[in-house]
Amino acid sequence: MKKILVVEDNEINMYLCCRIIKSSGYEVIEARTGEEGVALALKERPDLIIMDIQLPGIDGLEATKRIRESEADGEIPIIALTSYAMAGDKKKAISVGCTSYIEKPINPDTFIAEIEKYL
Amino acid sequence: MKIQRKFQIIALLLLTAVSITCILISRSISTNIIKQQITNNLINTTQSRANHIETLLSQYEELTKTVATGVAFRDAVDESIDHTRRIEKVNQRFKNIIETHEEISRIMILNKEGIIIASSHEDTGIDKSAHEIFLKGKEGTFIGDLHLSQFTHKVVLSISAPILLNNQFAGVLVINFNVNKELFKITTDYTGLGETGEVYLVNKDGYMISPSRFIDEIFLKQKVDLRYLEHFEPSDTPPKAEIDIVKDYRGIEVLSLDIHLPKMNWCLMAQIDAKEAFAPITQLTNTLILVFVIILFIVIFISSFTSRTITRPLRILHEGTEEITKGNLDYKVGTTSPDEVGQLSRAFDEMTTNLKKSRKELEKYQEHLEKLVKERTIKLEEKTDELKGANLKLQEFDRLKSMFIASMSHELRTPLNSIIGFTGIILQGISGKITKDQRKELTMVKNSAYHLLALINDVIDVSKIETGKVELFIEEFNLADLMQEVKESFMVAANDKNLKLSLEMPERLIIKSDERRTKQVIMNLVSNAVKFTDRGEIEIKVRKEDKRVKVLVADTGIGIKKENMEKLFKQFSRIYVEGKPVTEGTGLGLYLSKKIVDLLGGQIKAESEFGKGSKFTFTFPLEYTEVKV
Repeated sequence: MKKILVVEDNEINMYLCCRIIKSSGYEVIEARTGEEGVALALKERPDLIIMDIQLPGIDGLEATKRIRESEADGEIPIIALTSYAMAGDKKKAISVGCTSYIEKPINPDTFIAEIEKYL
Repeated sequence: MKIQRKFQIIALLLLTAVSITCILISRSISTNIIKQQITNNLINTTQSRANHIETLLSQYEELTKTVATGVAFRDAVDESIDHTRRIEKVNQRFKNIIETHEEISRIMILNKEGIIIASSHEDTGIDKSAHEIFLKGKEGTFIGDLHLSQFTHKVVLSISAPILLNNQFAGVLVINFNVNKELFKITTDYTGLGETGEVYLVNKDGYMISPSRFIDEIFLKQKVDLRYLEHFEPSDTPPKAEIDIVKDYRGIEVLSLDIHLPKMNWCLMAQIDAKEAFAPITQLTNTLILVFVIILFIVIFISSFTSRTITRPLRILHEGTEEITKGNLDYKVGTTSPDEVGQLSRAFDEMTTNLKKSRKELEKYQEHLEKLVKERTIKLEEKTDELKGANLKLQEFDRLKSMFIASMSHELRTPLNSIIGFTGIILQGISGKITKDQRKELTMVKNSAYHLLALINDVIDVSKIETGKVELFIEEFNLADLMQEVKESFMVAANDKNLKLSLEMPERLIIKSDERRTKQVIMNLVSNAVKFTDRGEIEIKVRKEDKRVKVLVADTGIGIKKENMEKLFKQFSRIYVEGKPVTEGTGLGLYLSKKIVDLLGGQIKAESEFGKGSKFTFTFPLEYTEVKV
């Protein structure tokens, strides 16, 4: 079963993501901060990472950067969750090493399809 | 130059000119008078001497003639009488005559052959037949020219007269007159001729024959200017006595007069040194110069005095102006003189008084003005303070607004996101099966949530743009890809309404602008087109025109009424469309689009025909350059 790491501080969003991902038959690893996300990414070596950009502590961009820098294997797809209000987040996300991005709000109709492009 | 000095100079020049003119005129007149006097004097003196000489010569002539008729002289030439006796007798007669006539220096008798037969001196027997004195004496009484006596070496005048015997020429009597005795006394009498005047005789050859006042031994030795010889030419009218100023034989400038003595063909010259003659004129001139100098001094004195009198009030006035210039407006010139300067001074004083009055008024105005300015300044400062406060408040308000927007963007969206997300999950059936009604109602919830999200997003965008907080991300991107995405995102909606959605554009069109904002505008236009079109088609055309891109979105929808065209790009100007639910849209779409287009340096334009469709044109530069909105 493929593992998907979700880095998200908002409980409701985390729950939503988990429900959608799990219902499609994937394992979910949850991380609530950037640091935890980096640590779990390196430890668990998930098949994909969903990375929220706005996080307490180090943000999603910084976390992605650290994952890409410290880890030899740069193959893990990282999909950024960007907010509409944060103009430029998408570009920044791509520039630090994200594979793709999904703009919030999460639309359950298209979410899985977006993820599965990179699995 | 000071007026006083000017006045003095003018007075001086004027009076000098007048004085000089007077002096010159009087000198000229005086000189003429004096010259006339001198001339008259000289002429009179000379004429009387000339007359005297003529008279004397006539007397001598008469004497000679008388003597010649004497018995003793007739006997002397009578050859019938004994020679010795007659000579003796005549010698006795000679002696008597010489003794009684001291002017006679010699007497002799020539016989009819011209040989001296008797003489008061020892020279008998000398033949004088060729002499003029004999030849002319034969004819009548003859006065010979002055000559030097052979015996005495003195200048003598010889006069001869014929001796008649029984009315027959028998001999000639010759008498020599000592000119020194009488004749030269006339010429050497310098009475009335001053210190340098002289009178002398000149013979027809131009030689001086009477003594000079200045040079000795002059007889026949000194020739005078030949100019005078012209007088010797015979003429009917005797030349008028005329005075000339010439250089005399000594080379000295003299006043000269000549009178012709026709009897002897002599010329009587009268000359006086010009220096002496004109001495009165020189003296007069000197006197006049002295007078002039005295007048000059008087004039200088008077003019300086007068000018001081005239300029004194002016000077006082000048001092007054200087005093007033220094700022002393209380100063009064105070001249009492009734003349123009006095009037000027009084007018000046009056002016000063007025000036003082005006200045006081001016000062009053100024004070008032200053007070006003002060008051206004205080008010202004108060206002400024108020404004500062207001500004601070505004800044604070602005900060709060920004914070509010930031929190809106996050806090409002987060719950919305979960609403949308969970509604989606339920609709997908992840949480279990749902009924048809539930599906319908949940779909409505989901749509409303999306609508609310769009509304929030638009409000945030508008407020960002209006507060200038919008950030543009300028980069190169392919507009063709963007257009494709737009088309795809509306394909479903278009298909649902059975509309044809066409896109016509170049395969690749790289532009440099804000991709998200560009997309936002185009999405808005297409969204509107889809929304307001129920049948027909929606055409999207993209064209590159020079350095700009033109995006055209045309539909065959309901169109816009003319009266609504103006409101089109205004915020919350939702146009009521029959049969369309007002809940759709935010009312900010076109307003926001317009704002974004402005930001991107582009233009947006709408054309529409009500009932037939609308056409929106969005033009923007291929390469973004910063614009001030």
